[in-house]
Amino acid sequence: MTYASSIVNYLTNEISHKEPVDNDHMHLLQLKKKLLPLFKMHSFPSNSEEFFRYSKIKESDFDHLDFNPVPVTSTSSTLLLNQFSNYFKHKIVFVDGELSQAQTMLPKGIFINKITNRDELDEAAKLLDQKSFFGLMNILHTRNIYQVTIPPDYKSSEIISTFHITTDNFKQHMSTPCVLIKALENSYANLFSLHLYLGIESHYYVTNSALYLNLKKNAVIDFSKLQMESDNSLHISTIKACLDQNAILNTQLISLGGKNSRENQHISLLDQNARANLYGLYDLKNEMQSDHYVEIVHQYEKTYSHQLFKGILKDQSHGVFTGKVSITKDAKHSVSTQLNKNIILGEKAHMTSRPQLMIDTDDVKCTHGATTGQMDAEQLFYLKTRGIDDNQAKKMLYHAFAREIIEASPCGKIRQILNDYILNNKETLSSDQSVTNRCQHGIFSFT
Amino acid sequence: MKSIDTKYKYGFATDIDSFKFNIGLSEDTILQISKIKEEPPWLLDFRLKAYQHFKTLTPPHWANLKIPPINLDEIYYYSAPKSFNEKKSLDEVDPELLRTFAKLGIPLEEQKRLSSVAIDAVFDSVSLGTTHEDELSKLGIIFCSISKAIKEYPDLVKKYLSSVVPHTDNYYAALNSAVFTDGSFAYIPKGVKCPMDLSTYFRINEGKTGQFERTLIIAEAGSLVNYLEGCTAPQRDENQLHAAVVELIAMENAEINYSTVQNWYAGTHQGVGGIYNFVTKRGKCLGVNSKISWTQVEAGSAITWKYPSCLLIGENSQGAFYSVALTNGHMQADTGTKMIHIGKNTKSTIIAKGICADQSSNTYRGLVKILPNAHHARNYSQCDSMLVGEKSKANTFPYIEVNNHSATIEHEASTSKINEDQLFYLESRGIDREKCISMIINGFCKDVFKKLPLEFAAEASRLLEIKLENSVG
Amino acid sequence: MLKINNLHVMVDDKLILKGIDLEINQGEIHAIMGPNGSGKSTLAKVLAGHPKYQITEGSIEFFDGQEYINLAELEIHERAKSGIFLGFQYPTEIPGISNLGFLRESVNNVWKAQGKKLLGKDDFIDFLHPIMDILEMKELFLDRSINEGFSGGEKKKNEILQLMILDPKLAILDETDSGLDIDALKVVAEGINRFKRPFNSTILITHYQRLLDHIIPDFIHVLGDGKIIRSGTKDLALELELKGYNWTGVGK
Repeated sequence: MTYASSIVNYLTNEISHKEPVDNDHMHLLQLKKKLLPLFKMHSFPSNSEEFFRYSKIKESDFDHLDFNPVPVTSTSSTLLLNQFSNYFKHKIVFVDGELSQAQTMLPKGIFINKITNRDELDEAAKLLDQKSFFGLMNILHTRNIYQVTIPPDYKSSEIISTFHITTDNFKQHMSTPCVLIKALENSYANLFSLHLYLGIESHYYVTNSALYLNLKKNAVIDFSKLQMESDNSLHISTIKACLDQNAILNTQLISLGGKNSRENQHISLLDQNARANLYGLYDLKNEMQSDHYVEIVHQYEKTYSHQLFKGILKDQSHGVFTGKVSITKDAKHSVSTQLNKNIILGEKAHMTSRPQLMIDTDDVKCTHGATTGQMDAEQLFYLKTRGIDDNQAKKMLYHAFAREIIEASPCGKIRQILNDYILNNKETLSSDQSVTNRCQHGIFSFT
Repeated sequence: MKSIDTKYKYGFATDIDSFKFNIGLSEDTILQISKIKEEPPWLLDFRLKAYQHFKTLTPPHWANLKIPPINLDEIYYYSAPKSFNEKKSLDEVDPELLRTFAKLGIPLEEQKRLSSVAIDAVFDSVSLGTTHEDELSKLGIIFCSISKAIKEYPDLVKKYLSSVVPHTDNYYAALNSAVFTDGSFAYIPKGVKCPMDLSTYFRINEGKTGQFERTLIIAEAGSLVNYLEGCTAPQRDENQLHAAVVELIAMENAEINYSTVQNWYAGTHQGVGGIYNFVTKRGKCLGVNSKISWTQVEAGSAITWKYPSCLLIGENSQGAFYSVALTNGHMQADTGTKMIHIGKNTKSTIIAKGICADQSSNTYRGLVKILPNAHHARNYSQCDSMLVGEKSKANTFPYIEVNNHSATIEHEASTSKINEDQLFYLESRGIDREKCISMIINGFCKDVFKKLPLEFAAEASRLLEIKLENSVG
Repeated sequence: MLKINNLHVMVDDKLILKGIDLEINQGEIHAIMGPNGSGKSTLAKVLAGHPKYQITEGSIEFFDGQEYINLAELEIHERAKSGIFLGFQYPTEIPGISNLGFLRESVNNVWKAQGKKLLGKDDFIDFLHPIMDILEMKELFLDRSINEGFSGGEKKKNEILQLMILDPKLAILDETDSGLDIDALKVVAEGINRFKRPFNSTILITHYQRLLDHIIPDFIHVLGDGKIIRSGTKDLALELELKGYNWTGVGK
């Protein structure tokens, strides 16, 4: 039984007791009515659940939230977007959780539309996460499920970005954007997702976003995400991807904000030669917590995956990395590599790393590794003997550490942006000064 | 890949009259055990307390194992040869039993004993005796069955028993604390380096009996002991339960090296029968500079569930875990280690090799936990799996929890199959295929084998060869 | 330039230097020789300020142009800014930082502290070229990560490049000749010889005599078991080559 009564009540009201506002919402509402009982029976993921053991997401995070949408004001968001317009010509803009059609502009041949038609919705539903607690919450709360189709043979390296902007008005609210991107045969898309908070004060709000990527034969997607939410917010994100034959997905997740962030990635390699390369960087300070949960399932022969996640943990922050790789019986000759590297700078910071391998067939090559330590003392010494002071030397080593992740993007513009935001200090965002409880250690259950 | 029954040369049963308690588990059973062993009241209390706690628990299911329900009421909790008499020396033991052990490669008769190893021979629920006891006691070393230790050195036993694995630790530890029947006790006094290796050989014989052994080893400051554990059981169709508890305590500058070559009957190739090996083994590196190492070759039992662990409390203490876990047929293993870093400058090393053949399932589960005050802790872990055959399953689940900023942790793991190029190269030099495979696997396990005492290393090597004979082709 | 008085240095709870007295004046080249384990590298590291090396007794004084200062009071990067350079025996690899980026950062910091004018990026590269030519180093070296994938010789050349760019008052070169083939040795020696001028000083730590064929020292000191057991002029090197270290009484 779910205990997060506040959201259950709201959803029940909105779904069970209402009729569709217009034709557009009819089928979505029907789907929600079908899923609501499932959600109600689901229990809130807690410490006893293996993959939420270290998470600090609590039911009380959903108390006192206003689940209604917020009227969009254009002021601050337009200012910022004007600043970015040189870099980002093509963008999908969500402001405070709602799509801003006025500010959205996509390249020729590509459209974003609500899924309203019953057949399309049934088709989309196959991909949606209808099992996990947060996946269900996203479908049930989202106003619209959006779809973007990259047409077959579309090949442009122009960045298509999605901005998720949150303003001061969004305090104590929750946004649940749900977007499906279908990359049809032989297409190539360069996607960039920015989660940015524009408020002055570190307000609390919740983001529970879902992004579904369906890559058809020979499709390639380069996806980068920069998360800079409010220092006090809760950010939950799920990326679920299915790759067909020869499809390639490269993701790059950079987590710089939020008080508590949970990045889920579920990748299914369905057919021969499908390939997923996942990169991530989490840079944590104060009492931030960042939890990266990755699950890659190799379901076919000759599929490939690679993971490289790096973390820098300052102050009393807490990082969690779970990298689960499953190689099924049918996935002979597959190769999987995974590496998690962490540098702990804060005396009270801590890191939990769980690379996991589940192999059901032979003739595969899998490696994983994890290192946790401090900055290399010898490297620091070398730089200092060349007249570089302590702070600067540490910055340089930090740059070197983060660089490997930044360089994972083939797109120069994105590398530039990441460079600017990661390496040139994000003191533009107000830092969180509040003192909160120490992190608790997970209780280990095996003998 | 053929599926012929693996040759288990220890599968014979000794035809000997044995005395057993009534089948089943109850408070009565415990009272009987305590009585037959003439135990002091404090130990009976300990058992009863553990039993009360046990009754409140349910069998754990979080491991990656399919364990059919075990009916604890269909097990004999005590079985000993009728001829057994504690007061008899080893030479006076029933010749049939001596022949059994000789057949197992462990001659117990005085003239034929191994001079470099002291052996405690345990048959079902009793220790038949310990060789070299007197010799060792001249140095102040106590090595005898735990039943004897409880009677003759109650203060020592009372002080340390359950100090490393309390009865509340887990389901099987609670069960063991209630019904353990025998095991070994070793005490090495200050500054003494044990002149010979100490070992215990466990032999299950009687059907339907569970073996619940308890071992306690205490190494005082500056001492050193190398301990070896061997075990076998007859081939039977029903599963038998072996739920043991091993506690090690190392004081300042002391060192305990504990090696196991586990070759319990693993069941037929089709998965019938075999021992369930559910063991809690833990070492406390209590003193400064203390060292505990666990070296294991797990090649048998139908289901293995064990995590020999180290609590690194003393400053500069070191823990090590070297393991080769081989599964074939329908065997299942969920094994690994826990290294808990508590004191400063502690160090741990984990090298785990899994070899997984046929339809077996082999899981490595390891925890490296660095507590907030464990400054400058260091850990290196390497877990490699080798898959032989299309149907085997290998899983690697490391958990790394670092709560101290000056710790350095490195973990590497890889999964692969036997390298075709290497195989071809060896075969092209005239070596037959099966031998090539065992050479490659030996090479794969080399890092672990070199940590075993010589005789064990040779035995372990041969053991793997035999086990893999019918699994590769 | 440098006054070392009764220097005792400990590392990992072990006392390595057991009372070193050494005085180095402007314009001088001092060679320090000695068998493995005698403390040569320790001396180099403690002069550069490596945190693991602790001075338990004695002092090091460095003339910064105006007065003698206690070197122990200067942080590592301050020593570099004051004009002390350590050429590492095993230069550290730092993947992810380009050589160019690193050299610029270092030079900018040191020159700024010394009141020198800083160069723009292109001018800096132009400034590097002639020096790289002398050391026979190719252009693409600048884009590679610091010492990553470098051969032994390339690493040592990188050290000498830095020496020549930073132009310190005191250069401490720790076994700069080890691992070099004949050609690389000539090139490195050329670099060092160009560096040395009347107003700077060099400490050459070396194992073998052959570097001293190329760079003529003013003084040679033999280190044995943490102390200087013998000092002499350049001829001492030849004697050592012929007779070996034991002759000096090292190890007795």
